[in-house]
Amino acid sequence: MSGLDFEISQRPDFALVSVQMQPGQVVYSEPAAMASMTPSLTMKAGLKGGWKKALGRVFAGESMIVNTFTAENGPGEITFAPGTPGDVMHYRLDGNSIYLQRGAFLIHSEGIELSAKWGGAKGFFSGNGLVLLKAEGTGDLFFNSYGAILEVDVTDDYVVDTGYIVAFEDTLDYKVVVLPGSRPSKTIKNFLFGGEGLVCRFSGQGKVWIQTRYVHPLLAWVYPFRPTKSND
Amino acid sequence: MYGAEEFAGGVFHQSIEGGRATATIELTASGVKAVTSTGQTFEIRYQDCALDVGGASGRMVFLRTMDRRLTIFCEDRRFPKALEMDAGPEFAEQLATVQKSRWREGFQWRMWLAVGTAVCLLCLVGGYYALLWTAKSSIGAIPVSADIQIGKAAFDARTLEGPQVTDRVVVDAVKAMVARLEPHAELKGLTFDVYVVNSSDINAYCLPGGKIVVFTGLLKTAQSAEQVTGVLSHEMSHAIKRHGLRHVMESMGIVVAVELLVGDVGGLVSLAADLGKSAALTSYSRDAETEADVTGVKMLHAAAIDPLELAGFFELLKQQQPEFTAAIQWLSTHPQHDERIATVRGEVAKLPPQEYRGMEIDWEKLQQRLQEIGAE
Ligand SMILES: [Zn+2]
Repeated sequence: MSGLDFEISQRPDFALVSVQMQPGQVVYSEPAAMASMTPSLTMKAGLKGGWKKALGRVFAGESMIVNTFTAENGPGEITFAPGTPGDVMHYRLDGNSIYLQRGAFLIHSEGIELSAKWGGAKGFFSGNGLVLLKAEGTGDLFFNSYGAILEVDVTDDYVVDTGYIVAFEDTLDYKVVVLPGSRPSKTIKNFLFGGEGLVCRFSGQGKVWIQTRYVHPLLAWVYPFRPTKSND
Repeated sequence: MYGAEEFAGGVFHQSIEGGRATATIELTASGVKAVTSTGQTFEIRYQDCALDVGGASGRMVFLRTMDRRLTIFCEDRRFPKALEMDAGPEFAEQLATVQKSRWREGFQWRMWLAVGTAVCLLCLVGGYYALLWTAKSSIGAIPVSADIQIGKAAFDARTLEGPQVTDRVVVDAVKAMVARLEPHAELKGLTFDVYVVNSSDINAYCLPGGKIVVFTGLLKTAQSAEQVTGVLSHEMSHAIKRHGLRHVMESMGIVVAVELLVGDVGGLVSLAADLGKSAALTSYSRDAETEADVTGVKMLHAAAIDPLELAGFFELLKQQQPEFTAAIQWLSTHPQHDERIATVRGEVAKLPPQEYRGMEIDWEKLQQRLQEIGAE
């Protein structure tokens, strides 16, 4: 299967993916990710993979709806932009799988399946949303970060704050733990509600992608300024 | 049988672009062979091979050279079994050890989860009973007005066991007995109201708060006003010792308990109304009956009425029991005569000497009036 003809521009702060689509080619995206497209392309919104998979995506912090773009009437160009300022990473899946943090999925080509990965107890206790999205199959996958992306080659052990993980390869073992040194009283709170001190300990061999900004502090800063509906 | 099965997996090696590639894995006689999609071939001999299990799924098998430069991995569920068959027993052992340690880790999580769940359940159940217990043990803090409300609710909910007798001679006689005992009730604030009911049942009861119902059958069967007063002292003691309130509280659910703890007796009252429809409210435990006998004896003694009159009434019932098969009401809720006679005598023996005075009631006239009004 030939890969997508793509280009990522405006890196690393406001990355944009443009794809040159051949007739009949298909691209799947997170809703609202499409920025522009030529009229030869058609868009269809739907619950890709049935309602179970769609529901799974919701638990993994993604949208239930996946938009399908098809080059039905000849070749065309389409561009995608993530919702947060940051970088976009391309990853070629070759029969293996990769795990994405909530909100990190942007687009993928044909041949890739997305499913929510219930991390068992380790996923459950992290309020930070370490319910992961698993992408598997053969094809092109694009994921986005908040801030720039660092690619880390893990060869033994590596610790990342759960809020900074973007994605990691399937060959890595992961465990959500409390950062040693946190006070016990804080530990319980962290386990239940997430927050600082909750880290993911990776072991084995593989790649981890880390974002250089954490989105929660920004949200906390913006929150008081949000428009609210008044009742009078 | 070698070379029969192929597994999808991958390789880590620095000669590969990006350091990693997917590969087709095969188990040969001497080792594990991996061929990438670009045709690069890698092999690890079994004797140079270190084994590990992990990956994000926890099921991925890693085979590494001792210098860790080459890693072949596979997540196929059939792979561990094939490895065991082809690579020999020492591998099977290694694999089992690694898997067991992983399982143990998982087990710890499951155990903590199970312990957590159990603790939560215990807290819930414990909390439930603690709340009920707190509500029940707060009986002393509940005002007597609650008893009166409960008694009124129960009285309104039930139908009298026969036509009410309003004859002054009969009613005044019973009222005089109650009036003699009332000043000696150890719980103040109760209001003892008397109702006489025309019924052949040899019975009397006192609802929480002090409403007393006496059956004409009791008045006709007793041999003296003192015996009736003895029975009344026992019944009044049930109200004084708040046995009815206790009984309602034992029947209450968590909602009523919570209401009670915040000072609302509404739930108790409606519960009492339900219980009051049957005889449930005035059926007490053996301990409560004994307590009522003991309290009754003390009250009779304080009122200068011979407490042995109560024992005398039990004796009478015992002797005449066969003749009262139709009117066994009081007996069914008050069994064990001999034991109760012994209790009364024992209590009397403990009391200081007292000069007893009889009731100033014309017993003959009362009996005559009962005949005249056609009492059952
Ligand atoms: Zn009794």
